[in-house]
Amino acid sequence: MRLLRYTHLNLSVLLFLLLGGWGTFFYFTIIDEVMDETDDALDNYRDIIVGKILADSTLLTSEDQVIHSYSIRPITPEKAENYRERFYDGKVYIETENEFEPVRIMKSCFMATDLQYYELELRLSTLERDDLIAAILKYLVALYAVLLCCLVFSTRLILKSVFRPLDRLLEWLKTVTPGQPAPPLDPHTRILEFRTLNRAALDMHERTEKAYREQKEFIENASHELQTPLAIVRGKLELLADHDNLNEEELKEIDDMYRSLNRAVQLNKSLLLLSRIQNGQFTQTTEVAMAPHVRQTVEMLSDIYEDKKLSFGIREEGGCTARMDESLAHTLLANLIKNAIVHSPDGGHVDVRVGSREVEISNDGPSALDPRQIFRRFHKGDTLHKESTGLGLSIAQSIASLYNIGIDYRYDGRHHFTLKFPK
Amino acid sequence: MKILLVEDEKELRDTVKAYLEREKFVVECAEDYPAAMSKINDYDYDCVLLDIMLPGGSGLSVLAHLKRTRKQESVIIISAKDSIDDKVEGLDLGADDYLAKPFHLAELNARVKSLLRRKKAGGDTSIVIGNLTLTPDTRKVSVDGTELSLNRKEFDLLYYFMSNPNRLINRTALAESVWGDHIDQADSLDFIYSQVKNLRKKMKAAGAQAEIKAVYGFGYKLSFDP
Repeated sequence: MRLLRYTHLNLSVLLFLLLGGWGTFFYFTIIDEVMDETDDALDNYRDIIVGKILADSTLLTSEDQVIHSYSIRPITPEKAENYRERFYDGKVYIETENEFEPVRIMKSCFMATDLQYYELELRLSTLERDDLIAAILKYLVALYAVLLCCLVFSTRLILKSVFRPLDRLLEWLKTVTPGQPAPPLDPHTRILEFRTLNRAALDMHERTEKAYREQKEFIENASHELQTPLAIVRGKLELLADHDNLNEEELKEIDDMYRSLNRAVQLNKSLLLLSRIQNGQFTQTTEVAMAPHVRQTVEMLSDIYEDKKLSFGIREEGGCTARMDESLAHTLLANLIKNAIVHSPDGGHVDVRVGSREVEISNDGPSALDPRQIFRRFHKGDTLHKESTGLGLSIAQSIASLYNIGIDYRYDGRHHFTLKFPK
Repeated sequence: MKILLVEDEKELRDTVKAYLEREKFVVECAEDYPAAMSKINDYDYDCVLLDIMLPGGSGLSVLAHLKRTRKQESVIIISAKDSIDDKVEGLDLGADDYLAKPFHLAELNARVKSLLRRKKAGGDTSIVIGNLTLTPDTRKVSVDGTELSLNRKEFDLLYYFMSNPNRLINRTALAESVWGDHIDQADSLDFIYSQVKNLRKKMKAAGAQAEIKAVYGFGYKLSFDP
């Protein structure tokens, strides 16, 4: 979840709950106040009526039926003894309107001048009060909704502007790749933490860049420096082997040395190639068709590995081409095909499928490889192939990434390496 | 045939010189830029083997000077840099060939000979050993005038052998010359055996005087006693 969304969601939930709680509390307080007001009015009304009745006992038999209505009926002294005043909501049938109307009812008792106890029932229409409550609820809900929307929207705007430097930094970090010039990053923002973060990122990038450059230069220089001594040893061995008076034993020894030396030479060549690819020294690109290179490589390699008795299948379903250096295209395909051949069991089957935008190379193999490990330098999947430099797939990956070619590995009983060329 | 070897590493210079001298070439050496320039100005050579990184200057300047003064020397650049730019620049300046260090001496020998053959008057580039004749340009081989039919790899093998007659050639050098860099991870060079066996059979059947001999555990030799 994105930081902006996460923060915003939390704030929104908090606002929703806080405002909702406050609104509910406010509503019920207001209602309570309005109710109290009605009951107070009934109280006053009772005092007035009782006062009037005490002054004029003829009123005992009267009733008011208009807005405020009341009725009086006599009760026994025992009942009056334990009488408790009550307020409750009820309904009254209004003849003129021909409907029931809500009323607040108060029941009270008093002793008239004839020493008789009477129960007084007072009714007050609450029609207006209910209208008022409905109006309060309506506006409260509206206010709640508008306020919540405004707050949620404005917090989003504020958060977005707060996080903008962070977004910029993240975008920048995504574009940074070692060995390639980084786009400029303006470290100035008004927020101290982000400023520090920007500076740290820039600093880190410079250091990584320096380490990367130094490592690259080291590999390249070391490989270059090794070329001459390797050439000398190789030349000396060849001269030595050419002497006529050597016996079989001695020649065998020289051959062993020669082969070990060749491994060093190949390793060195591969390292040079790798650093040269990563240094971007291959700048000549042409439109290279993959199929002819596949055919040529398979022909070449099937010769070399003839004793493995492999069968090869080349399927050309499309004319896949890519703009790249021709020798690198060849190396890329050759390394992958060779990898498939070397790791196939004897008598296995190697398949190469050339599609319109992809090339897939598959071979038999007993179990899946670790996709995180296979492209690492000097990673050797098994110990059977001691002569392997362990750089073949690493070189293939470097070439692929140089030209934005995707290189995927999957296993479904066979190993599949797929090159996906950009459109 | 006179060859000038411009190379600053003494050991490598001595090795190359020894190998080429066995081929009856006259080899002179220069170990830095001034020495190379003075030799070039004072003498004529058939072929110059030129290292690019030299004390006192670049081999490419030597090459440029050679071409400016319209000297007839063939030039093979031997460089430890093996970078595309150097190769392109060298060939643009008029070098005839480019060989990256570390090279096989047999390969260097083959390239020198190929250049010198091409320079020979008449333009006949054929190599003749006994009754065996190989013409690189037309890729044809004949024994006593009768054409010997070889496939591409057999031809390449024979070409390499005939460029280095009576020399013991290691299997790896042979394999690399024909199969190129593909050979690097091959854990067995046994396939060379069957390829050479076929070639040998064909040569014998055609009655070639030269013969490819296997040297156990090391490689092969094209032997011919005139």
